[in-house]
Amino acid sequence: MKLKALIMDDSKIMRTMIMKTLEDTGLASFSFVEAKDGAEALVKFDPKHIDICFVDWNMPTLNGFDFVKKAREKKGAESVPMIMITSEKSMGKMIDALDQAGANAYVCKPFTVEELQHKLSPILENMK
Amino acid sequence: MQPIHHPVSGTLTALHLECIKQSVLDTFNAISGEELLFLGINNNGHNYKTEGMIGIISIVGDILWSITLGLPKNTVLSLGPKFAGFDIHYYSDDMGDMVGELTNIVAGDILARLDAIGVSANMSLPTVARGSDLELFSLVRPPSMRMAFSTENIELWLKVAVGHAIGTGKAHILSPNGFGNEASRK
Repeated sequence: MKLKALIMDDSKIMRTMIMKTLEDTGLASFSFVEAKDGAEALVKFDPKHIDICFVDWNMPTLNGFDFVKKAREKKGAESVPMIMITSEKSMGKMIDALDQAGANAYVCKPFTVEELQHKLSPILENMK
Repeated sequence: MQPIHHPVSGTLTALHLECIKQSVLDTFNAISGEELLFLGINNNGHNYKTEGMIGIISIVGDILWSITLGLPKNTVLSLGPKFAGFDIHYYSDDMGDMVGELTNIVAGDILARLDAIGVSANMSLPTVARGSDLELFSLVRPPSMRMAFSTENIELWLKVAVGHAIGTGKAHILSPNGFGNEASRK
């Protein structure tokens, strides 16, 4: 399975870690598009060409919560999985991201390969 | 409908301190793979004045805190491969990113613990600095306390400064059971 993933995080090292961990999961063959905040990600997010998004919450310009809400308004975006990867661990934030913004999964930092595998497997299974 | 305004609490309680301590312990135990020891509050025997990096985040909501995570040079160099999976050069942007992320993760964990006890707050983006003998000063000199931690290989500290809304009186840190010191300022 080949997937083009949009990775957004204001931290370059975190983007690198997410990309490396995704490759280590072995769940798919990933290619990546990077964005340093939600605004840049929104420009780069084309539902025809992006298969899955990994979204940090706290970013300058446009945060991850607002990115998911705005991205969902694009035609064809409803079928693109959006995974929040964030240090925001409050139950209320998780519920907001999943119910209000429309994220598909929520991963807390720091994360392991196994945790990412666990969260991603059912989502990628649905994409087949 | 009128919005409900909760007063900002300028008090750091024993429960708050426990949240902060556990967040640091759980975060760095997970990342370092070692058992982090809590060395105490305002422990003057701990070496705070050394070359290293600090990450700063403001927490604003029912409370008004500034937290500073202090990581000596040897600690950040040791944490690099454990956190990122590869060596990180001390004088690099990546190192700044890593310290920012670590501060973010600790603050996020603190917020989740506060949320679980009914304290609602949000955090700012982190600010990171590198240097020697780094110390933050505030014009209003808020009361603050510093917790120190270490393993065999790393040492770190976390400082919390407590603010309060203007006109709501003083901010202070209570002296809780098991936390030893008292720091308050009228």
